[in-house]
Amino acid sequence: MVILEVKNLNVYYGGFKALWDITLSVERDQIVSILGSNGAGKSTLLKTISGLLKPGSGSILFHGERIDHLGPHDIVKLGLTLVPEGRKIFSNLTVLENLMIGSYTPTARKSREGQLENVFELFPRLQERKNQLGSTLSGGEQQMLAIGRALMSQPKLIIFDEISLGLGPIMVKHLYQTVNRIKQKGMGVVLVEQDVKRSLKTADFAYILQEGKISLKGRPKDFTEEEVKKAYFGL
Amino acid sequence: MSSNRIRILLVVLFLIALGTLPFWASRYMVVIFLLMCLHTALASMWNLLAGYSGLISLGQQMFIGIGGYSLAVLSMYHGIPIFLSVLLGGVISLFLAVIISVPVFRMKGVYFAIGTWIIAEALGICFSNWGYVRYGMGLFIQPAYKLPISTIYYAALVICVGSVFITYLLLRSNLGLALMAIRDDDVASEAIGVNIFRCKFTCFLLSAFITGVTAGVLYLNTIFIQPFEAFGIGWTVKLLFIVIIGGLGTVVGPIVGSAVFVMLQQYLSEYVGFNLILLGIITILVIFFTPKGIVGTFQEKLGFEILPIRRQ
Amino acid sequence: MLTSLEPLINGLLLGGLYAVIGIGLSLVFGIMRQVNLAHGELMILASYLSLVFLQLFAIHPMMTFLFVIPVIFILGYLIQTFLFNRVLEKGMESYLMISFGLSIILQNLMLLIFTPDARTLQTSLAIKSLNVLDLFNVPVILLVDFLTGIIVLGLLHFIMKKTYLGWAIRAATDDLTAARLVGINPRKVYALAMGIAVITAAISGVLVGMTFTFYPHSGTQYLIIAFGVVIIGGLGSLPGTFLGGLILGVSQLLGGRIIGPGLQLLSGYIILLIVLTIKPQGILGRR
Repeated sequence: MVILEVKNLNVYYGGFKALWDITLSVERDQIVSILGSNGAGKSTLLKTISGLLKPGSGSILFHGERIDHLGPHDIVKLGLTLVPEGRKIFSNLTVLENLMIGSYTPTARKSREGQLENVFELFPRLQERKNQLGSTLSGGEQQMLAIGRALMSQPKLIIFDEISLGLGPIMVKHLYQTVNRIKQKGMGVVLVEQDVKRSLKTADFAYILQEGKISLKGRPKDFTEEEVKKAYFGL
Repeated sequence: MSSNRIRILLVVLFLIALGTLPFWASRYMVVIFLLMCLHTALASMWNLLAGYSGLISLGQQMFIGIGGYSLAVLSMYHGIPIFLSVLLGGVISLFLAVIISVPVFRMKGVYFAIGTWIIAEALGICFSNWGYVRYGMGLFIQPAYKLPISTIYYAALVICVGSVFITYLLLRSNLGLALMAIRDDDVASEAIGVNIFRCKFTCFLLSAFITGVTAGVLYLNTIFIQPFEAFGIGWTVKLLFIVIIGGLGTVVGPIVGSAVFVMLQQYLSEYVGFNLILLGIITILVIFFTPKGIVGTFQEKLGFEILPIRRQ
Repeated sequence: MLTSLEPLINGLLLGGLYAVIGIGLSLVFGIMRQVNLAHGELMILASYLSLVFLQLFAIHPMMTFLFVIPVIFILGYLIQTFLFNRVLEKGMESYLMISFGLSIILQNLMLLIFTPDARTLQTSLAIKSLNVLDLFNVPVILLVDFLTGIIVLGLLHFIMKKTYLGWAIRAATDDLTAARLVGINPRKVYALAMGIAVITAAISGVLVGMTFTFYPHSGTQYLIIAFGVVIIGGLGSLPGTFLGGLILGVSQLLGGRIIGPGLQLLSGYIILLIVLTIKPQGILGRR
């Protein structure tokens, strides 16, 4: 069942055209990967989907309803949550407060106790540190907190922007296991990564961006290494 | 004729008209234009700071107070000739600016705004409690009694033309380019070697000097000076109004704004208290709807700058 | 030494009031990076409104809180919605100038309506004073000011720590983009923060009216006090704001005792300027 559809999206950013005619879709219980080198447009695409940017033309539909004109706070209410690049946790709030504010939307508030248990079950380390300030956590713990905070909003689709950035291999493995568990709980997942190998291993479907256009799409197990290289680097 | 020639012709005609004013206009008109000239000078300086250097000062009145009191004290207590006192008022304001620039330039943005305001208030309190200048009761500037109005008018005209001209030249110079670079992106401009501090500092000192001198002539006209009014925030209110209405960041804006302001003040002089309220309302409305002010919007719509800064 | 005890203690008590004056400004500045230059005028407007209600109904000044607070709250909400929200994206200068224009309008409206005469909210509390151990006198009104200050700050602390509104305000102060991504609507949270700020202004305005005489132009000095509290104590810190209030209160009264009562405000201004110069982020501040 398709929950997110992007149709012919064109986005302008800083006076330049950053995205050209982007079309993609995500189903529930699916991990979709979006890859591309720096500057390919991944970040712009995520910002537009989550409502931080408005597209020049094209549409974004979530559960059949158009969301491209909405602000981020309305989109979260509908069940689409972004885990932003660089984690962006609230450094002056405690771990617990970060998670609490994650359940800010009215629907999320009702089930916050249950969600909190889920998050602590996924990330026991967060429970240990629940009264510590966000700024005192390590990089990996902050990433866990950012994911946990996103989960608190009861999303039906969760977008991860570069979660492995700056983290060690053990932590990255743990995070990807978590991503899989999240998918198994019935959510749609969009994964944006620079780590090509790992994300292609995890994803059910992938899109590769190059200079703002989709250069390759399909099931990762059908890709050849040649194809991927060409789509990624354009050689 | 080319647009440049038209411009020069217009300016020259305008200056001739102004220069001969006392000969063909009524006394009332002379006073009006006198006030317009002085307010233009003050506003040009405030504009230089806020519109070009990015220094929003809520404390320019400190130089008005110092300039005015210098005139009063030097000419009355020390018998120094009037116009020399006025000039010295500017110099003393300059010194004040140098002294306070040390703490004040460490303050950015809103801190700078309120910091300058506090200094002005502090000076006002000091003068209110200083016996030498007769406390809060104020001083009558005796030597100014006998000055003919045309003399004061010409002094004001000279200052006005001078300050607009200096601002214009400044902005067309390298310093001006630097200022505009800073205004656009101060991190980038620092990276290419623009000494931000020196640029802003120069403007700050210049504005202090001219404000001080202008204040001297102002008080030659008003003849009476009191700390509460001289160091009061009311001055900044008026300058804010003039610059916003006229157009922040344009050279001609302060001229137009002063004209509007002085006329409004005359028209509303019967409704004391109301005029400031109206001023406040108009300022807010202008910021909402025509944030570039009269001149700014005019220049934008017609693509024509009366005194262009950019080289062509 | 003992003669300084009185201004010291009274300065501390006054500091409690100053903290309430400053916390509103601190909240708005922290979340929106803007200073509402009309904050002082809103306070004094509350003082005048209290006067009006006192004359309409013969009640105790402390009871006027019930009337004044809702009126000022509505006014603040309207100001935020119709004035400030319109220039949200236009940068700091627009906000500063609009709030400045607003302060001039309010000041002169009050001048027109209430005349330039000195006013005060008459109450026996201002006249009575406590004689402590025969060493010094503490006006009862200062105790009331201080206690109110503690209550208000305590309430705010609770809101900030334990409610969604408080977390939302702190989150938006910390990282606005991330806050939007958890579902926080910036305009709504700005309006609420402004509402809280305006309520504290109303409370402190009524207290100021009971403690001192006030004029239409008194707003200016209280704005500077508010700013001083925020600067000295540091932005974004409730205990810092409290500390800032205490320091400012003491420096004012102690300074006034040393250099003379006419120069009382001056000593506070000097301390403020020193802090602005050395550590603009304030003693306990983070920004």
